[in-house]
Amino acid sequence: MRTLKIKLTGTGSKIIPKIVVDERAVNLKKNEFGSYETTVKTEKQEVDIFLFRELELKSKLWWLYAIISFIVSIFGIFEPPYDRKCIIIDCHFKVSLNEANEIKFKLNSLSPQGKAVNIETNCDYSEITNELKIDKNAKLRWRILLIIKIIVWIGIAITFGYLISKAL
Amino acid sequence: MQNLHTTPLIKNDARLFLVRLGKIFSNLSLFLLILCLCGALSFVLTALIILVGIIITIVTLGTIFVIAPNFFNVIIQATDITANISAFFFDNFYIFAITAIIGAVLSLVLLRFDNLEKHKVRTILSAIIIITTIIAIVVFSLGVIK
Repeated sequence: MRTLKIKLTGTGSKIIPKIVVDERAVNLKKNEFGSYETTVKTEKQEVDIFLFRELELKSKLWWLYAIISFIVSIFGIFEPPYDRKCIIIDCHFKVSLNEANEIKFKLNSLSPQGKAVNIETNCDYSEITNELKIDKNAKLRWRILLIIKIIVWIGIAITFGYLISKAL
Repeated sequence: MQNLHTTPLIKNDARLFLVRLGKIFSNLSLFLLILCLCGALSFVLTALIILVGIIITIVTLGTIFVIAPNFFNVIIQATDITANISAFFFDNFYIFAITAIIGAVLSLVLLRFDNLEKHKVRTILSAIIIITTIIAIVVFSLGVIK
């Protein structure tokens, strides 16, 4: 049984990517220094490690979730904003494992250029993808939501104005 | 490639949504707590307006009534308005209080679905909201504030 200790640092921007090792999502635990770590056990000699970022606007039922959130939050007043930048992390590494392995991922700042993470490890690895990019689909959905919200807010304002003018 | 490894995690979408709902309920409960306390605050505002009126009268040695003969009426009108606002908040106190507690409890439950972030600030805030609202209900039901 080989062990793989994964450490994730540089998550100061509150963006914590999901990590998938060997087609299984790993549960990261926050340590006392504010970084995240976990240990994975596997029989394989080589594993695929994926790092990616979950965006709320990427889900299949995004429109349903957005409608419910909008109504529950009293027409968006108390709603936390959706991520405007829609930057996703797309990382894929192939790592050859020894008996005990340690991989440290350092997350770079979110900008749609450059590498997503810097990697420090005692194992041999090959980098297949390691980039930050804008999810165009999520960005489009974000714009659609904004337009719909503005239309609804204008509609509410007109309705209120009409009701007040009728009451007076 | 992105879809390949995200497909098995599709139930995470619902988890993200529940966490979002938790944040919404947390914000809502804070607002409702403020509404609960508004009754008492508008009561204080009424007293403050009277106090300001008295201070202005003393400082100007009563000459304010020469400068503005209806000064006393203005003060009385202002206190009437704040009294009406205060009455509205007192009438609906229990609705605001119970909704604030429900919102805070729901936010505490829903934020547990986030397995990466602990949401310490929101959790502490929700706990404070629950405790404060319960104290406010007890104080209100004992008739300390009428």
